[in-house]
Amino acid sequence: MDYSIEVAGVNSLLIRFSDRADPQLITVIGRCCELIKQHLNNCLIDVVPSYTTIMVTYDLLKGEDEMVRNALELAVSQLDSNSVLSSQERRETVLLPVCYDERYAPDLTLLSDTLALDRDEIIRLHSERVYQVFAVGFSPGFGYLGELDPKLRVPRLSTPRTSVPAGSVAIAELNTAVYPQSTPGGWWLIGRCPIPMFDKLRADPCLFQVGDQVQFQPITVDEFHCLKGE
Amino acid sequence: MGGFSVIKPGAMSLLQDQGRFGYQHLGVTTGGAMDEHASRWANRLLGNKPNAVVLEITLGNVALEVCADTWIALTGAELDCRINNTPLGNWQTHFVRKGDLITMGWAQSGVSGYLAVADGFQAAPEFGSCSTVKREQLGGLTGGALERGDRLAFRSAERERYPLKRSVPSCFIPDYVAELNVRVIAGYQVAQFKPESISAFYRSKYKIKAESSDRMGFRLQGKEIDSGITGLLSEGISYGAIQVPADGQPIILLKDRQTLGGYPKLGSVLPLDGFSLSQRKAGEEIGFSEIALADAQYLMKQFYTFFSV
Repeated sequence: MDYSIEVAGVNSLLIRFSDRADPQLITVIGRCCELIKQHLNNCLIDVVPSYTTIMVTYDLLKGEDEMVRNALELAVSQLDSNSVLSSQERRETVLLPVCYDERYAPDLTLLSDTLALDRDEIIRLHSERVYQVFAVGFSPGFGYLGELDPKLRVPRLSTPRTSVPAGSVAIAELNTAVYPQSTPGGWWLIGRCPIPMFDKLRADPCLFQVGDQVQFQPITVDEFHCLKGE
Repeated sequence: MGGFSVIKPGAMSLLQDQGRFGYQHLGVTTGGAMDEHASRWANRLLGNKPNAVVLEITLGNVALEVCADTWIALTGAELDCRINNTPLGNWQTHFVRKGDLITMGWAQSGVSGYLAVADGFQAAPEFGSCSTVKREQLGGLTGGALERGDRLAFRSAERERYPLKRSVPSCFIPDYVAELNVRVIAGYQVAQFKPESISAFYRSKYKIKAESSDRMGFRLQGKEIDSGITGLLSEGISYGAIQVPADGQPIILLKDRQTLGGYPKLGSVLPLDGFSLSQRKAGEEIGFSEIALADAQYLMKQFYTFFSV
């Protein structure tokens, strides 16, 4: 496997696997993070995977640069196809309910006009596909899911909203996402998910991590309210 | 349980420890005291654990009523701290009594002042840390800055607990108005930058921009740097990373940085200099020089070893 290890800071190294996002690569990256955690258990501070890279931050008082580099190289060398398969098998696809009703999808009509697709077709294309989690960031629990069906690809909104409601399901360019918190945002809003994406009181605060698979499940307005506990 | 009652919360006063680690893969930033030099000294003066919770006071204008006897330590920005209107020395410990009034004016030099109490402030950790990150509504008392009427809890301490007042040796007290040279660890995509851009960066002075320089990062203004790199995918960002967006004006990412970023990076600053930078006010100028990775690691190990004993 081709990769390079770059210096990302005084106690951070970054493994770069490629310059292009790729659904298969992200599964490998997810698996590689697990191996890194096994090898560097006692000196790791943070392991941050994203699209084509993994940034590893370690405790300078517990780990030497060379030792960490060696452990990263060992982890990458263990990424044979078997281990990739096993990690895929181990993690189930995360199902996220989405209500695509107009009241939660302020951009669906404009999107329908822009793409020359009717609403049901957009919903079908968006919910049929199984997405990979390419990155989690921007804000806690914000997952960059991809890749969208080529028919659904639109640039970001020219004027971002100053506030997007929490739970908004959105698309832009190659990705779809659920906004975990109410934040500014420039993606097209096509639905709403009733389950909190990030809940600090939950044992698993975030429903998915990089390398996981996610699929959207259309629900009615009544089901939305029910799941939301309203 | 002892405590301070907040009469005036100040511009932005945040409970901080050394940061929230192990959750960046979920998009949770580290946070933590902006200036570890000053915050760690505050805890050290009182013999606290290195990660004890301190109050980071940005720019000052704070008034606290003391509700139980304790020892405090003051470090960092010069905030004209007084007790019942009698000036208190900075970089020192002081004994305060129930009923005393602690006041702080606006910062005369530096940006962040640190107030520690014996054994640290008591707060419920979230994801292993009490560091307040307003954007994420995590840490502190309620996920935000101090407000009037808040109560900062601590276990009271008797005067006899410490036989003497302690102070930081003068050689360890930084001058926050001295010209700052920020040492840079080359790395990331530096090889892809145009060499003339890199040499211009090291020869030039950059001004700290007033708008949008905050706990997330400091925006600089000066000679444009042409990275010649476009279309990067987002990737993890370390403390001190120097991002260069399309306008060519560098941004130094600090404690509350977003966990991912897609701009080219020409390196990262030596964290010690990042701490010093955090104490510089908008409008001040800084310069850069290069430091070898091994030298940078040596300095940081020395720093953390000093404060871990």
